[in-house]
Amino acid sequence: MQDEFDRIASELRSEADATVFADLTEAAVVRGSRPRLIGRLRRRAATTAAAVVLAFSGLGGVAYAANGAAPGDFLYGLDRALETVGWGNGGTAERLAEVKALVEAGNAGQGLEHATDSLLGHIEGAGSEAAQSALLAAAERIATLGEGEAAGPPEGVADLLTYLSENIDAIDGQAVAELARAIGGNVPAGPPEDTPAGPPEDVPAGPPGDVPAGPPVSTP
Amino acid sequence: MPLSDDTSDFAARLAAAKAGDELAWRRLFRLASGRVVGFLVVRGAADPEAVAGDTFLAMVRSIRRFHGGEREFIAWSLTIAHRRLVDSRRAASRRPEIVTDPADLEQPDHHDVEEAALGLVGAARVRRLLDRLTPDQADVLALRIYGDLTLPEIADRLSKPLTAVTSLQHRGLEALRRLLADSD
Repeated sequence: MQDEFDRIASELRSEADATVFADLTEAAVVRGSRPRLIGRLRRRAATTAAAVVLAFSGLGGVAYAANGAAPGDFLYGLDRALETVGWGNGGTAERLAEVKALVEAGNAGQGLEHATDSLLGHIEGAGSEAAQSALLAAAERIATLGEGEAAGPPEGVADLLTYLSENIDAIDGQAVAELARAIGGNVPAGPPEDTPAGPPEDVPAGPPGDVPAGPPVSTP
Repeated sequence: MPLSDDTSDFAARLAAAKAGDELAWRRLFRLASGRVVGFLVVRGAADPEAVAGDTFLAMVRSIRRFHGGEREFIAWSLTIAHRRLVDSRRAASRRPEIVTDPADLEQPDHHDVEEAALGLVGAARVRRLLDRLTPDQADVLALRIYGDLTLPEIADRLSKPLTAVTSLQHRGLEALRRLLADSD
């Protein structure tokens, strides 16, 4: 059986290698060759986060504590959750604080990019790719929709940040992916009539054609 | 396109793709796209085109974290495809599906139309065999087929112990042998 299997395998590889799937790869090729939008956003996120931290520094670099939200602020619950984690935990908590700072500064898209980078090593298993993909997709949706300080953070961002802060030591990639997909209103309008009302369901992955392939989005 | 032995050529292509070179991306996808689609077909993806598209986009987003040669690149792309397939099945399982007529459950294989459009005749045939295996057995054999991966490489990619992967391959091949013998 092994020899027969190896023969079949070799034939299947040859069949696959001889077949062209240009249509399926086109959207990705366009994305891959765009002026490094994602890279630019990531660099801006890191730079902006550093600037925000420095602007509020005065507590040994743990700048976030100097900018705690008050009851009534939309991220007040997040503040409380981060406090339970404790400052001085290092890395992840501070990265999350930087993400929050970006969101508060009206740069939620950059915040999500920064979250993708900074939380990479803390998401394990099959959900990590989904989480990364969903976070970056949410960042691009925000960039497309546009955001301003007056508008407040896009829908769903606060929920994502709250989840991250409450599960900082055990982030589930699938949960992150689901929360990220709900950012920016990317949620079905409502459940079908013959199903009970419930939370929005995951938006199914669409064909490559759904991916916008327009010019780079201008950054504010 | 068969794998080339020119490692410097692939390295240059990879570096160019990471820098956003369109031609380099086309060449990289030419290496991996057939393998990815073939893998998804033999693993019975309900919508192999959609999952393949997601896979290719994920590759673009993650390319800067990839390091290695052609062989590793294909293995990496198949690993992403496998994860995307798992994600798509989880998403599908959470969507309510209304069956209007029990007779629909006995319709001809709904994969046929999709597979015919993709043109991978051999993959479509093997899919019918792998459908009869457990998902884990089918995963191992599909990675052997399209990645030409060793068992240790598969164990690493699937985050499973080598002993488990070895056993899965053995049981999968044994199941295939019985299926082929029964069809004689």
